[in-house]
Amino acid sequence: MAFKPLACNGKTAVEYLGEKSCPVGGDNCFSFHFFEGARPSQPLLALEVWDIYPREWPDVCCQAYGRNLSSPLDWAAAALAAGAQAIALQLKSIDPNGLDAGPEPALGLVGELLDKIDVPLIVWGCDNAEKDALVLSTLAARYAGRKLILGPVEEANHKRLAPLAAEYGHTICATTPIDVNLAKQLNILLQNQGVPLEKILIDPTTGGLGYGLEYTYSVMERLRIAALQQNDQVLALPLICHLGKEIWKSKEARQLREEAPEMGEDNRGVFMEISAGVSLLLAGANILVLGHPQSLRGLRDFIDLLFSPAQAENELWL
Amino acid sequence: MALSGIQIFSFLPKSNCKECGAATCLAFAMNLAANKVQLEQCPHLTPEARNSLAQASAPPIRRVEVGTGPARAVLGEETVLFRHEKTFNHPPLLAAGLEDNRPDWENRLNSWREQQWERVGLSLRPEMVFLTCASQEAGQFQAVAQKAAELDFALALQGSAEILAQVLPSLASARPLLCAAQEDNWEIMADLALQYRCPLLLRGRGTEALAGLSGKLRQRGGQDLVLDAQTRTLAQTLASNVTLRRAALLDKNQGLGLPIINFASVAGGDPAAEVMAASLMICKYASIIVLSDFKRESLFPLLLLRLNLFTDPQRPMTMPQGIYPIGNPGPDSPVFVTTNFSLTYFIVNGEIENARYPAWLLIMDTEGLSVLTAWAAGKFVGDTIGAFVKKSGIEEKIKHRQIIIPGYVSGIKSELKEALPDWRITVGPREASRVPQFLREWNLQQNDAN
Repeated sequence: MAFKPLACNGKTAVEYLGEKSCPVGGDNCFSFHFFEGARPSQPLLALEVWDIYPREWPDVCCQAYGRNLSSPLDWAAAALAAGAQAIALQLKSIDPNGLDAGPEPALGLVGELLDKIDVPLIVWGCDNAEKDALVLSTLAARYAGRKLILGPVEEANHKRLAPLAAEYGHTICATTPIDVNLAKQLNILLQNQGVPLEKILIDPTTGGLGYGLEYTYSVMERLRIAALQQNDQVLALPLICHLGKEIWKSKEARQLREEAPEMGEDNRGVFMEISAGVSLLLAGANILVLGHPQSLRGLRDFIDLLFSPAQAENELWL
Repeated sequence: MALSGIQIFSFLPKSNCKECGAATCLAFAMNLAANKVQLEQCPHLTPEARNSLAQASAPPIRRVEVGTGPARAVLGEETVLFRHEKTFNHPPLLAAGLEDNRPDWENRLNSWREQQWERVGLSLRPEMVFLTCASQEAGQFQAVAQKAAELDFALALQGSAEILAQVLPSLASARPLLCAAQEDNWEIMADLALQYRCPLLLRGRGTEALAGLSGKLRQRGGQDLVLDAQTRTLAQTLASNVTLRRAALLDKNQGLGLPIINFASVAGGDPAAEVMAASLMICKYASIIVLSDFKRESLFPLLLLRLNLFTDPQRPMTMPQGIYPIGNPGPDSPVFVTTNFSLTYFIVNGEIENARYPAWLLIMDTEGLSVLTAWAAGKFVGDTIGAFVKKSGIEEKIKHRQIIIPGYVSGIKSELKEALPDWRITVGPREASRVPQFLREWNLQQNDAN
């Protein structure tokens, strides 16, 4: 049968992350559709590292790291040993509804991490637009040229963050609430502030499994269609999904067998993270931020299976 | 696929004879497109035109039914490549493989039946058993199949034509999927499927082989087919499923416009590998997914993913209106009110549970709109909330008269006060993630007040 590839005239931008210039993006076909296009770079799998001891984290995740959790540096080292290709530092300490720390502890920690790890470093704020602008802009200036990936950058705080990030060569995670038009608008606003497109990652906002994942899934598919089939340059940027925190705050992932035997074994949360991760990778995610190292290994296997060089054999099925 | 009136018109005699009751053939075509009349009402349609019309109006992916009674399920009838284009119609059946000579087959079936969960008023459960006759004994095969059917599982029955011929007299009424017709046995399998009116699995290595077999089957009269492309890797499965879906929708290839079966073991046998394989198959076009076993911890995530992706994007899922107690609330526990968009409910409910303070959650029917949208549409405002609170019955469950409204609708506080004069209206947080902190402070204040 004559297989007809789906016409794609667009291509997503290749971006180079971190001091080692790790490439993401550059796809000219839908996720893993090697039978009709190319995807030069594999999706990047990152693990969360918190700047404080993760009291709110479920036991299943804590057990995976053990004593390493008491130091973010040890935690990051353990995450790298588990195969993380990027570290996503979560600045929990700066939350005004929590410890409300100033930028200083984060400044110190980011410096130590930059010296210790050689993978891209994502620095994630506390989802308070004002506080994030303060802390992330301080970081941007202090670590000029060190190629941090800073987020979330929203419409509400982009004017304070974007010029600094642009001047000092950092990458921005542009976060919008599950909406193609808002994603486009924010990217244009960032460009107006001097941020080049190749320094923007799109964060479409991630819904948890059973908690709105389908909205994220469909918005990502629409973003990829805009990039690949409608050749929309402003949306042809790599996609980043913060999946781990959505999975591990849900009751269904946290419940232990002893309190809820009907939910089965305690690796259910890992399976939830893997299942949701697969769907986001298929929808076009270029970077996934995960919580549990075992989920990372599972999703690594998934990516390896689909990147396997079985092209010739595939032809039978086209 | 639905045809437009104009498309139908091109098949009609165009004589405007009025015998169908319509003034013109075009009017009849329009009525037909709107499903207001039957094709048979046109007395002058040639058999050729009737055939072409039936073919042209057939769904691009054929509707195939398996199972009967509570186990009845519909496969196929998908019309889009991406769910946002319209919706995905029929969630893939999750099946577990079973060999009939396993000594623990009965325990397995019973434990599989117990695996179900309630969510958004729906029952989440796996629905199929893919049973293989490994015993080579029709009696054993039939006993296991019967038990599975009694437990409300739809059946796929895999065995030789001889074995199937022996068990079908008693099992055909359960409308099992017969497995499998392939190059060397398709005639006898097709005849069995036709005789017992059962759907038939078609097995061929690759798209070309399937298209050829499917053509032969259809010529013999077999229509209710399910395709197994016999992929050997997950990459092949993705390529194959995408190719088949496109062949059906874009090329209108009727021979390939059929539901697809996938085997999750293609990614390797361990549970994590099956979860990832089945997740891909849910996203990308399988109609039946066969797992090696049902285990709660791996089944539940797949059921959730399936629920999410097969939700109609144009119709948000809703919760029934009512009072939802969280963590055994008592007469002094706080009362929250919010809308019945299921996501709103789940997130608020989850945050209250996380806070570990008992509370009453009033869910008001806003036709599935979220808080701000419902407010903007005039469905979640002072009058309507007031009336709902009064008739909800919450007043009999609590001693206090205090209600917490979402922070995004703080503007309705005074109108709600008018509607509920005996009540104290408290404005809660805007974001559900702040609910735990809000509850901590609320409880501290209550303790101080006492």
